[in-house]
Amino acid sequence: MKHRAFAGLALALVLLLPLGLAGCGGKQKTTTIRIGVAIYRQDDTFISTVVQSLEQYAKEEEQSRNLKINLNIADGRGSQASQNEQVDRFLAQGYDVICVNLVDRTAAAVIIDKAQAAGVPVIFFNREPVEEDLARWEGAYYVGLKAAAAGELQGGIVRDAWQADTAALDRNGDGVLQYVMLEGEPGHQDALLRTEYSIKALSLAGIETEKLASDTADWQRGQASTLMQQWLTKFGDKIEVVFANNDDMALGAIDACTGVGLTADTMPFIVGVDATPPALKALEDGTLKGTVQNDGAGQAQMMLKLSCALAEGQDPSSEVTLADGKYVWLNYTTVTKDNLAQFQTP
Amino acid sequence: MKRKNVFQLATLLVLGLGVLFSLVAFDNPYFWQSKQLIEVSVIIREADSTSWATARQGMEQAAADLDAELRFLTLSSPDSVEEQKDLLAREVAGGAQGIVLVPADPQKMEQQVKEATAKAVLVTMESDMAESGATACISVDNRAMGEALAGKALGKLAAGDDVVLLDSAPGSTGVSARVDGAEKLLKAAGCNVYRYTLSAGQDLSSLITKAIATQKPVAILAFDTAATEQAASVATNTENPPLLYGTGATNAIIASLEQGSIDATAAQNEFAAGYLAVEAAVKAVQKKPAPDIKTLTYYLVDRQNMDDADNQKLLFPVTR
Amino acid sequence: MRKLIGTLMARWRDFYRKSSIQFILSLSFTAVAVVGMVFMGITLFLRFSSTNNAQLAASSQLVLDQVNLNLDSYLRGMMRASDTMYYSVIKNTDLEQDSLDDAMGLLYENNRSSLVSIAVFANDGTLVSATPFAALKHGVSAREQGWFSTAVEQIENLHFSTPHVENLFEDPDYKYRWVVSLSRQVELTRGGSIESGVLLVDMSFGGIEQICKDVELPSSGYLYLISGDGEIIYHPRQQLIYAGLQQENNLVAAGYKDGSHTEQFGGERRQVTVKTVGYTGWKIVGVVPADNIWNNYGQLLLFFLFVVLFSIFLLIFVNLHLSERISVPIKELDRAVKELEKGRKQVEFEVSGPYEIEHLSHSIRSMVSTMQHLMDDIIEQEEQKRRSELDVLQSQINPHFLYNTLDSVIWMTENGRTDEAVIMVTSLARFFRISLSRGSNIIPIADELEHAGHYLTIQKMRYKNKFSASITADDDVQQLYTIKLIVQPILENAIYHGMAYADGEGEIKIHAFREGGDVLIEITDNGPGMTQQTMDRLLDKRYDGPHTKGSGIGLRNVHQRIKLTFGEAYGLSIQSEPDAGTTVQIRLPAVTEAEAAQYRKEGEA
Repeated sequence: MKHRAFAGLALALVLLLPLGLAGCGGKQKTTTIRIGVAIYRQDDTFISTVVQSLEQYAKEEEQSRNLKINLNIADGRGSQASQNEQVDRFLAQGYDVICVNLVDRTAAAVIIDKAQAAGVPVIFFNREPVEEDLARWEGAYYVGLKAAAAGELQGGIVRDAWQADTAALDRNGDGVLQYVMLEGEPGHQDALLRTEYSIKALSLAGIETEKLASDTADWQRGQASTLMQQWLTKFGDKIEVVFANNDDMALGAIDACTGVGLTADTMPFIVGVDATPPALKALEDGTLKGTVQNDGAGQAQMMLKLSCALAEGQDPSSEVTLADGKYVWLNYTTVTKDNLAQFQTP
Repeated sequence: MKRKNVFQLATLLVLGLGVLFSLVAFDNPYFWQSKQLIEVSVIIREADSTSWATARQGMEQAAADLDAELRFLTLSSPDSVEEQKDLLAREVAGGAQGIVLVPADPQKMEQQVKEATAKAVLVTMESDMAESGATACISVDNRAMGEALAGKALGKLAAGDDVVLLDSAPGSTGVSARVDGAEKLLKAAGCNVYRYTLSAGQDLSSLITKAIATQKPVAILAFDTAATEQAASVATNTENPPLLYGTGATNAIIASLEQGSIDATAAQNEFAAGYLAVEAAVKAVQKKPAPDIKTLTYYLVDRQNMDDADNQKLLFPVTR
Repeated sequence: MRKLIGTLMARWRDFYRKSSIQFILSLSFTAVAVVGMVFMGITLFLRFSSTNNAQLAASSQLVLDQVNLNLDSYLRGMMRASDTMYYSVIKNTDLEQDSLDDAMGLLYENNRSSLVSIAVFANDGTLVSATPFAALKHGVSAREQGWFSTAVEQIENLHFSTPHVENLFEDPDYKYRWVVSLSRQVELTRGGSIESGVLLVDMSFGGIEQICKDVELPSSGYLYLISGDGEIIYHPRQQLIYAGLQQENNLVAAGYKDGSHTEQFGGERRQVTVKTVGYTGWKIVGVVPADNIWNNYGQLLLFFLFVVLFSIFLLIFVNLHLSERISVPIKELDRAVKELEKGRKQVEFEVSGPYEIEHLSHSIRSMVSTMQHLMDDIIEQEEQKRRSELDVLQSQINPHFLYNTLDSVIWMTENGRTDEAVIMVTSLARFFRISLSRGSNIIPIADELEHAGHYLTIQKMRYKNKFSASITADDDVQQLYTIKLIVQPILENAIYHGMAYADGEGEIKIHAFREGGDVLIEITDNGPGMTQQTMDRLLDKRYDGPHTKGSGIGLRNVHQRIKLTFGEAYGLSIQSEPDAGTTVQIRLPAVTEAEAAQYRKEGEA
């Protein structure tokens, strides 16, 4: 009789066991880190270099830290709604860290709240959310470069060239720098800051400037080319300098110039930002006069270090330098034909 | 009597618990979410993964459908056999259950692949390694594709014309099969065939430039994506460029096709290839019967038919 | 058929009879409960599932309506952009003087998230204006494009194409976008004269995708979008379908009218809801796999199953115990009765249980004990009878009397008093004949009196006529019956105790007469009489025993016999006082010859 009772109880326990197990199970072993990366657009040249660097560094970090890093890159294709869904998916699948390159920088709050609810740290990169949003949670970080600095450096290239050889740049010899500005995506903080600070660098140096035209080409080569064509038609060789908020647009301007038959010597002084491989090539060819390196590889490395530290539950400041506890700033570097060699990959 | 009583009580208790269990457990999300994701590693033989973007989409779709987790690995230097061996060993040691491999050199990697297949499921793309234990090979019929490309080229060639064949991945048996197929057909048609093989450490574009400069061929045939892109960019910079017949359907190749620098390209449905590869790997890991994989179909796309609705779907993936 | 039913009924009856109460009770309770529960369960389940199905269909419809609304507003937005371009810009612009670029740029900027490009073409296919790209690709002829020709064919309508890759403009980034082309014929003004052209607005496919994807239909359903003739515009697994890895029933769905349908595709049943989008003729198709509906029920079904099993078992459990409480006492009772049947005398009948069972057990117990008592009584009575009869049997032979009488006869014969000897022997013979009465126990009173007379004759002779006797009987008594040998023992007693001391004056009188329904025989003597004590003792059966001399039956025996045979109301009564003589009264019922039969025993004549 005792046996029967015991058997009955044992049976009951067996039924309850899976419940308990499943309830307290589900935690990943820390030997695999899963990082979800949501980018705003896969076909943005700069972003694709960051992604490639991420993958490379991930392989190296795996070796050095002896763990597995699973990267999942999701393309937002320019839609914040898509990106939000991708972030949801990452959080639902239990990723350890998410890195977000915001499509719409005003939409950071939504993502930070979701991440906070799930307890997953979020690292924004390259497209900076507003300070108030980042401050919502201490698990939100930003890795990037200060956009103003890019503008300053870009302006610096033009300033240095102007001061070195004014005659070469000042075509009409009036002592005023006539320029056109190819701007990035409307509302993008990089676009605004680079636009402003590149010209400021000139005005601070006492150089007078005149804006012939400016328009947004949405970071895209093709659109920049179209605009440039229109401006060339309109202004001809009155254009002395072409500022482009990024290299893709600079290359587009170069395309337009080449299209109407201008050469590296006859086309305006064109500068960009990013130092992408095609830009470096253009630098070599002499069509692009200068660019500012947006340290994509550096960003990737910092992101990865930070992600690993966060995923393993360590103090992030042990791995990276944090400003205000959440910002990892990298520096831009001017790239011209002179120091081109050090930026070219072998 | 007592015994019977206890037995009855016990059964009653068990059933009562069963009721509770079925009430509670099914709504409990934890209970159903403990399904394990199958880890699949993808090792390609290029350093630049942009040519694999479409295939990768297919792989990710398959991974999402079949509850697998993908690790997509590129090499630091293209076609590096050593690095591939190393990665393979590392992935297997790291606990990958399925591996999709585009082998840089099947013959040199036999040993490693045999070791790998002992612990994990291996599926190859482009080149077949079934003898070394690979479960499946997702590829077009390489030889036939090479022949078809040659056939297309012959439409504009005459006997006695010089033709350069770019053997850009001598290690890969799949690519070599394509070259062999084309070579045979062209020779049979009476063309002078010059086969340029990439040697270790040599840069592809310099090889192509040399080939064009030396042979001044009427046509160049390239048999993988990297070679095709390089050949297209070299050709645009050449005066009187030769006819170019390539393989693959990246954006750059399509653009070249439009512009006319490439006459025709042999493409496969990359999305399907990626999807099927991951599907085969996952099904093999789960020990389910493998899907019936016929060899992939290849399509010859040229300027005229590239705007056909079917070819559009092939060349430009509509993302999920 | 009827035979079958008959056999079944017979089998059932047999089964019923052979089964114990407990089994029948449990079985019937459980059967009723199970049937009830199963019936209820099934009914509820069916009701629930049909309600659920209806709700599913309704909610699918709602979702589709919402998607339709969204899609509609999106398409209308695009149409409005096209309208604005045409009516506000193109119509008011003379291409000779102005350019459409600025206005077009503005419109594009406003809708940049949904548009890929806006372009205006002249009738010969040349590009008039375009945003954001400026140049057409080499070798692209606008006139050969589908959107161009449909626009020109039907100039009053806007035309929506199916999704395709936009391949018109030079894009140095080599980007290829999927678009839906919205084209219309427009009137261009050039230098005052009107020429026709085509306005092309390329909508980004992403916009449509955004509206349609991740729409949640119940139980993992999905929705897709098809054109009027079935070509897929959007499908969540579009790429797989294009790659040939998956199939969809889009061509058939194109033929469905709006509303809910069921279809069979790919080996499963699906509930398909269709809604047509206005103006374009596109259809939104919502698919909910019917099997999945049952998957959802899987849990419910399991739950039901468990509940049913649990309840059944609980019921069985409870029923068993309840019926045990009823049937166990009955079984106990049954067992006790069985013991009784086996012959055990002392059986325990303490049974507790329901009120009726207890009452039954008490009743049975008292009945049993009464039965025992009665049986004991009967046994005792029989014993008594046996003893009396034994005595009677014995006395029928009466050896002492025989010896003495025969001695007297011998003496008389030896002394030559042969006549007296003859009388004595004759009386003796007749005395014995009546004593035996051929074995009968019941004889006529006349015979009994005759028997007494013979006895007296002999005794008178032996006692040398010390006394005298007379026997009288009424007429109505003679034919009545009595048990034999009741008078003679009394006479014997009277003679031995009464006449032995008389000197010729002794007198015994016997008189039989009727009193109502009774017959009385009085034997009176004038002997010394007896004390009350002696009288009591004489009839007290405690002093029974063959200790008296003479024939030995005694008064007691007669008394007992009469009582045993006829009942307590009858028997002897003695009236006597010392020195006042004795009267013994025999009371009998008046038994006719016919009635005498009942007092005869088996085997008697």
